[in-house]
Amino acid sequence: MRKTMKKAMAGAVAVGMLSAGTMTAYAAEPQTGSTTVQYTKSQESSFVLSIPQSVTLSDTEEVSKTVGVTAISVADSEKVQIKVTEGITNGAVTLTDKAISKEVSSKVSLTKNNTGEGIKSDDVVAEFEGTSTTATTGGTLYFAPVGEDAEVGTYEGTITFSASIAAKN
Amino acid sequence: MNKDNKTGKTILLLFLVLLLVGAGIFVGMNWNRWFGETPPEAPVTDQNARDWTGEQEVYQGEKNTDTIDIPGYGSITLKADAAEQSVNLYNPEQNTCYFRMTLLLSDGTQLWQSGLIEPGKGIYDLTMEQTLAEGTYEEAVLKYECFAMNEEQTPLNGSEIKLTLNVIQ
Repeated sequence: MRKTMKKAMAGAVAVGMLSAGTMTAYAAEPQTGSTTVQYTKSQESSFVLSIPQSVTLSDTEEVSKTVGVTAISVADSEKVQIKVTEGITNGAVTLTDKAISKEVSSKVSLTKNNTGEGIKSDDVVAEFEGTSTTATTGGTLYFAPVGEDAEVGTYEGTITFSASIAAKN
Repeated sequence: MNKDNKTGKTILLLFLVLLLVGAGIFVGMNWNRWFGETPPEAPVTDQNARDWTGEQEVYQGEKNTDTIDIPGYGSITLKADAAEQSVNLYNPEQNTCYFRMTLLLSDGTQLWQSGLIEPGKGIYDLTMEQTLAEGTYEEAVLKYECFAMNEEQTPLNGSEIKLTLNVIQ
């Protein structure tokens, strides 16, 4: 009788363990999936030029303005060059008050405190390479004070900046 | 008496078997929770998703108050001997001025000019003033004239992008 009891107990334990194993087989599996990730570098060079909307000159103080790019993607052998094509003549920008038919001018240079020469029409005012928005040369224009002799009025003019993709030297 | 003992033991045995099987099932069902890793939550659908109808406006950053962003390209591809062209020219949304765009050949011949384009708007189809034969036209110009968004549409600084027209069949 004791042997029978022992066998019965062993069998019950075995059944219990088997049941436990069967229960774990029904646990939920986590969902997985995969997706293909690709990257293709475009051959087209492009950039976004950033120019000052306007420049307000001062009678007595030098004014500086930045010309740059806010986005750029060019080949390793290329660079973006920015020049001034209109609005600056003989190193100076000329503004006109049409109401009183008067003009004022301000020397424009790439160096602070009026120390450098004025920009000429074909001068490079800034260059950028690769994908960096930091200029490798230039990038800031310095407008000399107009002077206190100008007649009272509102003088206006515009500057046109030219940008192109050029080969690196 | 013996018969009663035997029945009692049988009942006890059955009870113990049931108890052990039940315990095994209980342990099996809770095994992962007690001893296993927490399974990842199954992904659920995003209730914020809507039917996709194409690109929509997204946040582009703050508006430019004193600068103008000008898209620049190394080249534009056009269809040969066709006046109707597909392009991708636009006024960045962050600008606060109108664009008037003009496409010119290197000798100044005007191919196309837009009307005033608001920030965030673009031109995808245009009609050229003359067709071009297949070939490469270097030093073409995409000219941007910028105007304030006031009644006077005051002229602002502008830009010229020098690029290559690739005219293909």
